[in-house]
Amino acid sequence: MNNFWNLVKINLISDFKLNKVFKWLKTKSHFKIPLLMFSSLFIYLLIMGIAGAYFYMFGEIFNEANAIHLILLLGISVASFFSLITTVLKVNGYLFGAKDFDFLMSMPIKNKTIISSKLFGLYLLNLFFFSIIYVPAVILYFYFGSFDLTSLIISIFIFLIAPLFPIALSGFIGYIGGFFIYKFKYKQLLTIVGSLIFIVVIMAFTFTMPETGNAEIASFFEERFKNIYYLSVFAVAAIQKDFIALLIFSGVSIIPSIIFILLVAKNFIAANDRTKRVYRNKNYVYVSKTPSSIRISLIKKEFKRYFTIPIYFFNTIVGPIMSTIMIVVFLTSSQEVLNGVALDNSLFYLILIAISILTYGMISTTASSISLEGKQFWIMKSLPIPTEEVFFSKMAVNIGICLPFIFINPILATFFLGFNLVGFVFLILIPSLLIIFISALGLLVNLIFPRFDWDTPTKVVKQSASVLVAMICGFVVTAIFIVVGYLLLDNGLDLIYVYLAGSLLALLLTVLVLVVLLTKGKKIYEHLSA
Amino acid sequence: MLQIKNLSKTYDGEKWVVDDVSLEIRDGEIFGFIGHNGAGKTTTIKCASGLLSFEKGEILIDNISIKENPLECKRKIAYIPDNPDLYETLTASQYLNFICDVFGISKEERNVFIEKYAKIFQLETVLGDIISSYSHGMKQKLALIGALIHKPKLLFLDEPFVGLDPKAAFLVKEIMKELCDQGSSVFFSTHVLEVAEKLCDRIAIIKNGKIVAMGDTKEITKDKSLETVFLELANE
Repeated sequence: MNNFWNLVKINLISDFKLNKVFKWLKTKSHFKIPLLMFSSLFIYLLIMGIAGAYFYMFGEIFNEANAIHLILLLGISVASFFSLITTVLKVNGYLFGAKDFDFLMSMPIKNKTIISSKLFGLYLLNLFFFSIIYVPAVILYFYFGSFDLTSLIISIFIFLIAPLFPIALSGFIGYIGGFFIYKFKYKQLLTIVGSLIFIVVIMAFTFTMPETGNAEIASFFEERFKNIYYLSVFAVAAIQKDFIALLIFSGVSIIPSIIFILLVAKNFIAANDRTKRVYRNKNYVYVSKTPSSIRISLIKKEFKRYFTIPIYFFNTIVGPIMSTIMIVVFLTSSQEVLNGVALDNSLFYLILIAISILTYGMISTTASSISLEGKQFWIMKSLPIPTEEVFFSKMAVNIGICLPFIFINPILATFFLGFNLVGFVFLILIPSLLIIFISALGLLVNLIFPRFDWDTPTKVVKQSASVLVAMICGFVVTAIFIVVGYLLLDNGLDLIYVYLAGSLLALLLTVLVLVVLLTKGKKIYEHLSA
Repeated sequence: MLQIKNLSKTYDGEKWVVDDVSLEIRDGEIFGFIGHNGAGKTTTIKCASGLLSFEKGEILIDNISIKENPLECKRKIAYIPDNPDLYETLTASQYLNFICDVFGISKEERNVFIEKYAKIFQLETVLGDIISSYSHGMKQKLALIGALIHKPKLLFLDEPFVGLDPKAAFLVKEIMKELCDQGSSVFFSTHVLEVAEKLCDRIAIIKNGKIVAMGDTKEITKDKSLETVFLELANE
């Protein structure tokens, strides 16, 4: 047991850079640590608040339909689903094929202990993310329903065991996947495409237009969320003091985790060996390549990296995809649009711009692109590559992945709202400027908060200071945009002037951040070393 | 080819990791840099190759300041770290072509070069494999091919013999000599004193960030072995 806690302690210290926090607590000399702590807390509360506001909306509907338990069903299903998806992407590299595997296996520590400690690390991380969705759901359940101490205690117990099943399932998927995935040349691409298909199928299966009427919506959600994650039905029943359901939920959560630990402990070395196998072309013959310019070559390299790190891809493609999904949801659920009374469609275009700003501003590939150079940073530093070209290639990835959506969204808007030249032009112009701004800002933040000493990309893409700070900056800027737009509109300003003001603001911010990036950012880059 | 004048470098603003180091590497010379762990070898090499900034002093490569004109300097040099972490998700062929693109090497030239060195280092059948599948030694060889591809005038090597098989180590030594015969220079750090003694025209010994001995290898060793000289200086 001592070894287990030792390993957990070491993992936590290295994963969350706790030594830096301890040092800061003693010396209070570094501004980055409190900034990071504040940013983490802010983002945590912000996302929890957004989830809470979203659930509140459903809470009112469910309450009127006399089915407030559905808020729990929604919370547990969504949290478990996202837990499953993100853990599947994390499990290889964290559990199997981890960089500390050789070191740990050389120590007199049981395989079971190593796996348990790694799973515990994943569990703590999942618990953290789980709470963001689960806690508001439980609070709203008690807010709309009646408070009950036993239900509260059970809900805390459910919270503690609920992440276990998604983790065990992800572990099994990773373990089984290891048997065959190495046979594919483009295994990372296969992971990305496979996961995308999985999400799209689930989405298509789950989210169709709900019928009108609170009771129908409640019934719609009950059916759909049971489909996403049936286990949540037992969790909900357990919180409603169904003790048999509690027993079933506990068993289904805990037993697979134990089986997984026992199974993998026996095959840990073999499972890790499999992660080292790679596709080999036995008849390889060197084929000459057409030379490219430095710029093209760098961009190709950056895109290659983007598509070969699944967690990087998924973490950053969310924003652009969400922009289109939210626009479609908005357009298909707006009664005015559906009834064909959206005469002043310029106003609708303005809302679509606001949705685009909000979603594109969420995250940028550039916020972790410098950190992802990792220990290979010496290559870029020792080659005669102008810093501006490095910056350009990294920004090109973010711009490149957003570009299709920049054009898809106005086409969708035209389809639903009819063609509006002003709206069409500004729905392309403002988000385009904002994407350049967010890309440059992400890069600048990453230059200030680089992290090169990672062992899995997850630590950079999901757990690094730069991503957190960039998210906050993006959120603040989008909030400014939306508030300014709203105030101008509220003061009766003509729509065209609101559009122009938005464009001007976006242009000013973009120029400003580019100037800072190419002066201050360039200097930081030139002094940076891994 | 390389002039380091009064170089000083600190990481924390307190301790000088490299302290007032001055040295010169002539055209066509193999220069060995020797010192205990943490003596300042890697830091000096990284400063000279433009990977690290430095607080005091000046570094000139072919009479061009690395501080003022880093790109011009980097076009003339190549650097290989002690543990060459390469782009793991690229294939070796993609990596080499990326380097060629950066240096603007023509299609014909790169084909001849890649085929020649891949054959010499026995990598020709694995050039299509992703780099993460390579062993340490294979990565070292690949990094070396990448470094030689633009015919650098000055080659920086940090512990180049670590992880190489005897044949590859022999090849590296031969390539270093060949480069110097063509007028290029090699600046490398090593703990393998026998190699340094046999291979280097001149050597410098660094201790706690300061140069404690520098000159022609034969002048420094005189009638002793380099190992004896080094240990005497280290124990002083």
